[in-house]
Amino acid sequence: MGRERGLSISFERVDNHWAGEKPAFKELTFRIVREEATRLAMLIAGEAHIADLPRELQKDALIKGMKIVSSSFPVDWMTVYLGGQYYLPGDPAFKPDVP
Amino acid sequence: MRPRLVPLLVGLLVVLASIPGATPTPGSAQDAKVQRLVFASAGFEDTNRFWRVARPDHLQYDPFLETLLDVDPKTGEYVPRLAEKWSATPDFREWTFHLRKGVQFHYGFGPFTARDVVHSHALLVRPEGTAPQVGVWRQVEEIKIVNDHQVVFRMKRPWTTMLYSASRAGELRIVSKAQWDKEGLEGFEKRPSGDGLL
Repeated sequence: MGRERGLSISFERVDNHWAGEKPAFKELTFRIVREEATRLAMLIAGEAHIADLPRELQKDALIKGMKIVSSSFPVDWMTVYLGGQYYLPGDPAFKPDVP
Repeated sequence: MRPRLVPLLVGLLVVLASIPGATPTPGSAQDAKVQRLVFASAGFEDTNRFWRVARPDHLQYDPFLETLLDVDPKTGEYVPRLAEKWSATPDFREWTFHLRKGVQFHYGFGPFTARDVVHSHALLVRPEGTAPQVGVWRQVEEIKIVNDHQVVFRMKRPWTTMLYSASRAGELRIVSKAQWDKEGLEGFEKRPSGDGLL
């Protein structure tokens, strides 16, 4: 396992893993790519096999024969925070009478 | 909330490249030709200090750091991982975990034992810990080591959601005490010794 801060994390497969599981690939690299369009370009160019893409760009990937896979991890919580915290003094949206 | 958290929370949607002649599912036998799988990620809190990282960003640890329990992706049930069995007292104040035997840490740091659970918990509740579950883990009054493969968490108050916290949904990543004793934070920052698949 090796980490290049802000750029990538690389892993190598452990053979004879205690769980008896063996990934089909020998190495895995997370490449951190902040720009969405760059991630799409990497995917299409074959430089990446998997990419996080926002919904707006997913259709571009689908046209190129990619496939959407959802997380194998069940969603068990989600938070919507509707707080009334105002950081801007004098913000006209602030209604002091609203509890 | 940072916008990129939203897709992670509602189920990480990723687009997977088609590999000619292969079903593009990671880990499937058909992918054997891909030796180095590349995931272009939007990024995350980029550190080995798991005690400072919120759950969605724990994705970076899934390849190499295990948890006591896992979550079945289909049913949502808690299933054994580093712990094989578990039980709670009727008042939910004490949780016992029976740990798997024969698990070796990476880089030759020896077998996984109860001491590694105590150590990993101690890392998580460090003063600099900011992971969302840290407050919950600070409700642990004591962790008793019964033997190398059995630990009991005694809680300050009844705790019914222990299995969630001990699973991959929580933030207790199990790392090697032997490595920490030998190399300290410096070695840990370089490459933490876990017992994951990679």
